[in-house]
Amino acid sequence: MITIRGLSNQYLEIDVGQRTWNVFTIDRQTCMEYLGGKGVGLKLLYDRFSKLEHAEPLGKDNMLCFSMGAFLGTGATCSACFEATAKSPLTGILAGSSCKGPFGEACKTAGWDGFLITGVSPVPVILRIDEEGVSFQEAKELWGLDTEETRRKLDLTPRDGEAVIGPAGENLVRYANIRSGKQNFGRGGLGAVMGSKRIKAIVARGKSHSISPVLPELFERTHRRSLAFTKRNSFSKAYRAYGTNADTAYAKSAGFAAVYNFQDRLHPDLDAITGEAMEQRYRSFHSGCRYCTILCGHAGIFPDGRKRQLPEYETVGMFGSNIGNFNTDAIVSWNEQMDRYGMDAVSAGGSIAWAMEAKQRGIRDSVLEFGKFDAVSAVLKDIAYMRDEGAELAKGTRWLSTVYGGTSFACHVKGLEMAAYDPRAAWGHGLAYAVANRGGCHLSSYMIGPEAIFGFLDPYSTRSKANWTVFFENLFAAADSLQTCLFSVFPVILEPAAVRLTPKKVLSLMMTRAPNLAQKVMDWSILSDYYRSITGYPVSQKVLLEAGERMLVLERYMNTRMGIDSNMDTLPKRFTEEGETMHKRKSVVPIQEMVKQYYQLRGYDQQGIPAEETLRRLGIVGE
Amino acid sequence: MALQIHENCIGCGACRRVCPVSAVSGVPGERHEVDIKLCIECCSCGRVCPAGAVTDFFNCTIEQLPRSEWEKPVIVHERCTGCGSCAEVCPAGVLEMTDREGRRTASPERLSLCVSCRWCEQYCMFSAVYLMKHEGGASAAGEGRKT
Repeated sequence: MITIRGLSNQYLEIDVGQRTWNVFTIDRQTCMEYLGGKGVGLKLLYDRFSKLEHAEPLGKDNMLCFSMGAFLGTGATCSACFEATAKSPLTGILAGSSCKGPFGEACKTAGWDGFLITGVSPVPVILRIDEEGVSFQEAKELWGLDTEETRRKLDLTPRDGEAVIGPAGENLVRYANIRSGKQNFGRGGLGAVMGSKRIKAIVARGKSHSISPVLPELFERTHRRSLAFTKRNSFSKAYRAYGTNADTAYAKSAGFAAVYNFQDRLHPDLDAITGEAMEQRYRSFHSGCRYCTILCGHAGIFPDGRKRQLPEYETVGMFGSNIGNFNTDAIVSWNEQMDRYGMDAVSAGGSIAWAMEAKQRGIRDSVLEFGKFDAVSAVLKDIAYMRDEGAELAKGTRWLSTVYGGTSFACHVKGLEMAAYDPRAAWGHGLAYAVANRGGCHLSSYMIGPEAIFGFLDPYSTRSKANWTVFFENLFAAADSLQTCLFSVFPVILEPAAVRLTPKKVLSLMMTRAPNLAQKVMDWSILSDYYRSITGYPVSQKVLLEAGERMLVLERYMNTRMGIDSNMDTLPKRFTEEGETMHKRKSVVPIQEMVKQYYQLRGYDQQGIPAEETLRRLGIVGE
Repeated sequence: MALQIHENCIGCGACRRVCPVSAVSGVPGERHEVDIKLCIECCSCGRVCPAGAVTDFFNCTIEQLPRSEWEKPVIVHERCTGCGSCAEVCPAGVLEMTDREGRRTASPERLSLCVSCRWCEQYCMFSAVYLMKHEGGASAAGEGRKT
């Protein structure tokens, strides 16, 4: 086995149309500026932007980039993540999504730090990647199979990792997933991009290389610190016990649940779908990613005796309270169905909830109705195969509301459906949705955490929200580039002594009144120390945060070149005008005010376009 | 340099039978071969070879070792979080997740199949698995062992 110290810095450019491939490298400066993972993915697309700018998302000019990051294969905490980036068919702008399946590790330990796929194959194809390069194999027999069957037919060995699409990807459902192991590239329809290139599966055969840190002592020290922090963090403990569905209990207490297509933000029956309820009903146990220390992934035993993966909070919210369903058996089986078809539960749930409300208001006929769920399973199948009503729902909420009307209750931003966190319960989270680069993304800064879950910031105030949104966006973009799981970032910043020993009230006051000072007190050196120990590059925590900012601004810059402007940095009227809900606090999100502050902090002009000076400062354009 | 079977192979097939990933092929009486694209480098083929025909990545001959003396996984139950990583990655299907005193932990259910590849140890984030030679061989150490 060959040992790679740090990064292999070997990337593949694969043209599936011509069936050719070549190897390229990136320079040290770019590595330090963009770290890896998401950052390098964006940079590679930016280097080819003249072609990508006007490319049809499902056409031959779109590119699909997989990038692995420095952490993969080293055994760092929560380090199974890798990133895929492309122009999204759902939003028409860039979408990056991360996944924690076995494919990343296999690709990385085959000696490749990433690859870029261009062109369109005339026939269905499987890409096989190993230490020697890429081979192409016909996939006619696999075309049409679901993700589970495809994986079985691929005859995987313990060294292999796979990334496959299901019928949704083949039929170009705009929010189709790419699936690897039990995990998905969930958002933005990257499965449809892979389907449009007619790639059914990518299989990497790894373990021909081992990855070793350049500074092993620093790595070990950082690793021990990181493990200790995760172990004692209360947020990690809640996720470990109940999975991300622990959030349903927070949603009930803070009032951020999605109910009836976000018409409401509380429901008396929410107790039936909490993580605790599922844990008791299915006797749940851990079933997560490799190298995971949070252990939020859970599976359980169903009443029929079968083991099934339990859904995450977002799926539970979108297919539970958001359509008025409080039967967990149904949610779990729909979740499994969507995993098999390979499609995103948040966007599918958002589209279905929109169709239900449109029927309620009489603007569009549908077999779907709030409170009636017999048709949901059949509709999910129709979406995956683009049949009947499913053919329309497969185009997402933005398309539906543009064609039928009802934009005020179309709960998406820039075309990407919002996850089950109602921004009226956390205004900063509303800002995060509005300005997130890929659209209505809840993970760009996860402001619901400091606002409604940890209670550091007043959720019903605009004070310092723009500041913290910028900070967490930068930090999470950096974490997405290293690459580590976002849930592991919370222990990293909450457990160092300076934060842990400060009384919560003092910390909260500092975060609200003096955000810049609070950010100086915070310590995320575990992330930079990990990166420095693995690669040997002198990256401090300040440089790491600046790299996060650089990739955020670069992505925004590319998006504005593809048509995004300040008019799209807003929330649906539901959240800015309809304040009455079951929650005792009447609230609408004052989005414009916060967006203006955000632009200022980011160095964007009034149209939301990164100013020349900002681009220069970050080295995105030359002097 | 990957694992290799040299010309002194007697074609007994012991390596083929022990390989957990079917990377060794050959007909009885003839020299066997290792498919390096499948091999997980556990070296079990070398440890069962009566002819000393297998060399490792440093081109050193792997010495034959009675199976009772191979290192096998030991689970530190206090540290095990029940995440299931070890059982998922084990190429030989040795480990399984079982309930033990009301807690789900890893358990070496089929210890006799272990090839000492150390994947369980490598993937455990909580240092709850390590490999060691069991006193009295696999049969004495095979807690809950099923064969």
